[in-house]
Amino acid sequence: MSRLDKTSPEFESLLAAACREDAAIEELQELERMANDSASMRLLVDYMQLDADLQWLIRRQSNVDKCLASLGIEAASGTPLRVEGEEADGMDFAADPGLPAMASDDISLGDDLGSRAKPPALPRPSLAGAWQATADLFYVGGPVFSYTVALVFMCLLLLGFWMHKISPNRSWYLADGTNSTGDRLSSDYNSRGLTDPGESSNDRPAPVFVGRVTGMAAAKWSDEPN
Amino acid sequence: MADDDRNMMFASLFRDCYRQLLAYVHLLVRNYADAEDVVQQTSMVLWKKFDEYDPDTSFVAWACSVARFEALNFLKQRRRRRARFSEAFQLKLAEAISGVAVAEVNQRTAALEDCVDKLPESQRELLRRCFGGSESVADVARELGRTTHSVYSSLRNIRHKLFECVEQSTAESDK
Repeated sequence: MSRLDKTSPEFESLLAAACREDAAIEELQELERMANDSASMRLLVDYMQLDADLQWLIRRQSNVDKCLASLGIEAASGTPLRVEGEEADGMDFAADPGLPAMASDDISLGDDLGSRAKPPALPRPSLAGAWQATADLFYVGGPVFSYTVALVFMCLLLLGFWMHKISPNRSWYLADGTNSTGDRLSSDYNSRGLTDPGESSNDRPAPVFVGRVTGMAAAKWSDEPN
Repeated sequence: MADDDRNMMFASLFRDCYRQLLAYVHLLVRNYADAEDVVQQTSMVLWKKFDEYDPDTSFVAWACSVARFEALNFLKQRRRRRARFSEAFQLKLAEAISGVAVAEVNQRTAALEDCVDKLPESQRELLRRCFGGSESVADVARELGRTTHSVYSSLRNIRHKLFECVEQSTAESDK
């Protein structure tokens, strides 16, 4: 018999109320009044410690389950909350008749010591599970898919920049055809409107053509008088 | 004290008292997610004020006194309208919690873990639904087609059984 069994049902229901978010002020005041000795105060502390620890354990296990689910390993319905895989021994509890399948909201507190249900082991990761997890990563909308799309886009962008080189001297492109040395340079350069050294339009200083290091196969620099 | 020693000492003390602190704050704010937030905030304050801590006194008691102010600030800032214990009772609770040895708390928590494993799956599932996610008990009750009161009633019975089991386990291991 535990300390809870020895206490009054009223005190226990007040302890349970204190675990609820929506407890009434009257319930808390009554609990304060009843927890007036060291034994009941200690019972209150242990009960609240159990409630906090219970939520801590359940949340920790939920986080483990989420990790397993992300790997494609789904915990079976009978999976114990403990992850270490230790076998439980000792008391078993009766099933919870409070759940929907049951008619009553009351839970039988009788322990079924005769029929110890061995908790099923955590499912082991299988090849199919691993394959499924891998496939999940690559599906449309998955993380790998998103990264791949971004990578291809970046490659296309870089390829475009490489094919269409941008000169640092934009006026070289913008100069009009009147100052061009198209008759003396190859036809490839006529279209780019090169400015003849020494000549200039009125509204713009004369840019000096210094040539290009690459792509000049058709130019004959030795024939140039200047 | 060297920085490394100071860090190690704080980490060790805080780790030891974490669950007691969480239980205390949970009593004050009565919502687990809120309690975790408050304890996190408290840890930062404790770390800043660690130089003020007297190693000859109880770290849990000191942490609880800081946590109490953090919890009250939290409730005020977030405008949580929840019933609270009186200030005098909050102090009595802090004293009672810090009076429990860390080893005893750890022993009870280990026993609780075993006891939860022994619950029928239906009850563990109910615990998972009520405590494992972000759903409130009212949401879970609605999904299960039950009243909130009946779900609270089931949780109360589960706690009762777990409490009995923990008491039994710790009594056996003490023999």
